[in-house]
Amino acid sequence: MRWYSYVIPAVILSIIAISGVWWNATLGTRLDQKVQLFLNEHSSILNAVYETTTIVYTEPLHTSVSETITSTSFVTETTTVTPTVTATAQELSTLNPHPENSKIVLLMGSNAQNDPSSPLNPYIRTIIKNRRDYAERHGFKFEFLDLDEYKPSIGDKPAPWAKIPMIKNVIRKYPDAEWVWWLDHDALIMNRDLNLVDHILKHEKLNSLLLRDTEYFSGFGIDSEGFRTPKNQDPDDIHFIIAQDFNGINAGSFLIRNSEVGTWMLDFWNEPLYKEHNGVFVEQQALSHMIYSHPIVHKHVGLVTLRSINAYDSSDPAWGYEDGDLCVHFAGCFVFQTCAQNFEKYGKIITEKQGHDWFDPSEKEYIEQRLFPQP
Amino acid sequence: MWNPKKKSEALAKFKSFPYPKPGTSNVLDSKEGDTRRKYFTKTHLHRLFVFVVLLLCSGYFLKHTLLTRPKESNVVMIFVNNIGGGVLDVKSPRQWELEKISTENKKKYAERHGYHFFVKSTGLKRRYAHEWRESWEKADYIMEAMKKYPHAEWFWWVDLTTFIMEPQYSLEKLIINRLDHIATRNITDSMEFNPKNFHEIPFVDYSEDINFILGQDCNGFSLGSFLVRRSDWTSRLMDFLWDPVVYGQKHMDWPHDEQNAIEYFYENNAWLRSGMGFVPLRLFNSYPPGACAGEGENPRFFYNQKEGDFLVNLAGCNYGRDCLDEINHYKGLAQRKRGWRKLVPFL
Repeated sequence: MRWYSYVIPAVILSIIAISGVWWNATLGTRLDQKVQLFLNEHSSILNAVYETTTIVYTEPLHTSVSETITSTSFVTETTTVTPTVTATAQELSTLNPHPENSKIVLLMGSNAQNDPSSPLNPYIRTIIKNRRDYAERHGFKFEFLDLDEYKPSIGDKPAPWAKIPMIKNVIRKYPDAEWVWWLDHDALIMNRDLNLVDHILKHEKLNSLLLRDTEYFSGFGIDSEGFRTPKNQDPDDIHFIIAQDFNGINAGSFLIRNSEVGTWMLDFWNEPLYKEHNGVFVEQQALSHMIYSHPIVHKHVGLVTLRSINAYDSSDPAWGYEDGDLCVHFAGCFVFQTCAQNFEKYGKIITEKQGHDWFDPSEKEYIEQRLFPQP
Repeated sequence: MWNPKKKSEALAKFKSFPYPKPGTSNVLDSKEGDTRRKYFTKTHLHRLFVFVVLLLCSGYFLKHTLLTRPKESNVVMIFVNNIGGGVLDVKSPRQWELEKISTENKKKYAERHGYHFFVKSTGLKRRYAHEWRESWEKADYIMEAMKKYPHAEWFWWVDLTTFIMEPQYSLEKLIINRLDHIATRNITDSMEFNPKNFHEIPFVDYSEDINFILGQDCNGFSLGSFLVRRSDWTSRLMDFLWDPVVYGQKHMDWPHDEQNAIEYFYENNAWLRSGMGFVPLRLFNSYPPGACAGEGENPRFFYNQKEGDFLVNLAGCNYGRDCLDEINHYKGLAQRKRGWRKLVPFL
């Protein structure tokens, strides 16, 4: 008879029930939105603090260290006939490293020290010292790994494949590392004053160094087919830095970031079937293949000029070492049997700049005799 | 004895009647009457009945309205039909019937829960000169779906030869919202189910987000039904899955396509292990008795109606079994409601 006394309560209770269901179903979504808002807000605050910290503390300290070293070198130069590195400058550079420098790992792997027949055997300890001194000067970490210990992990495959497990182990040893710089054992650091961070890894510097929309060269059985680097590349998106010569990329010197993309590329690169592919498919060709076949790899690999990280012994101005370059790589010296010759040539340049103390004591006498033969 | 007050009350109540109404004569009496209220009379029961009916009707219509309202869904169902596309042979009426049943089943489920329904026709195509392949299958379609639905987070691949037996379960409640409780990260642990005997490798970080959810059957990974999350990890997986150098050496050994490829890469890739989570097979990929030959009545694999398994995957029904008969069988089972759901069909 009085319909409203039945319908109204039924409708109200139904609405309450359905609203409850809807509330429960969408609660997760709404909470996620609030959390995201909160994170964005506080993320901004954190970024601001970080930037402030960077601006206030980083540059003056770095400048101070550079100025001190420069001044000390200058003073030293006026008081001695033969310029030498003083203990004070060495101590200063290690006491006050650039904060970011401690997150860079300089990695070298070799078995020349165990192999008397290797052309680098007489010089390998000095090469190691050359790296270590450079790393200590700037506050980088340096790691030397014995290739013989990695033979089991690569079996009968060519030695260059051992780079990958070596890098993996270094990342495991230094989980806070940001970049790992691999440099082959047939190379020398030529400019110890050049900070790798200032030279390559700073955002603005890397931005200017990147070769965008540049053609990759074919070589060693890997045809690039006109493949090019991305037209738009952001330095923050770069997780692998490498250079190329006329035969394509050269993996004698490269930097890899300790990130999800970087570790993914290492896993990928370490693919057992790459090692089984064919005789000329080594770590360099595998990397080229990855760049050409996989858009994500292509996107995150940054190409720089050869002389930035991998100058050669060459008269070509695009590739050949010039005074002021970071390092020189004796690419192909094992094939052309010019390792000793190259070492002596560039060792002289270092000696003229730094004096004789850069030699390893156990090799000093022999190397001095080779570089400066007595009648 | 006459009572003027009582008379006034009586007359006010029955003013339209010229005589006292039968059964109410006690109002005129002066003696104290029985004033106890009576419940469970015919009138009260009638009211309660109508109330409940209206409540249920309102609930039904309102719920239906809410369900049909378009909403931005977080889940995309990826469903491929027209497998082979009649390129190598003419499709038979039974194949068309199978597709019809399966498509209808998935479409209803997607509509019920508001999921995007991504349907693809998979005609055979060439990528390499020596073979035919359905447009490179799951990887390509997942990437395509990710482009089409840029706001969706989860992508559920579901094979053609499957049937959803319990459509009232949503993926969120079944899997996504309780991943932490049901997913196994490290299957190399000796207590876990590990049919491929994978060994532990270094550098795996099991604390990373789960980006890939699947079950394992008696032969290894089972990709008849799996969930993928939109992420950089997933992009990297799709990017390298069909690496030409690896595939060129392995394609003759890989009859099950992505399933075999992922199993292979799982052996050596720490980053891949870091993003994968395994759930019990029957959670969303139960098998019929014909699959996994030799496993008998193993409760790990086979569909269990009493426990209300969500989905049955007629794995391998194209090889020696009859897909259409099997899917009709399970369709019949699904239509035979169980328990109290018989009485309340809209819940």
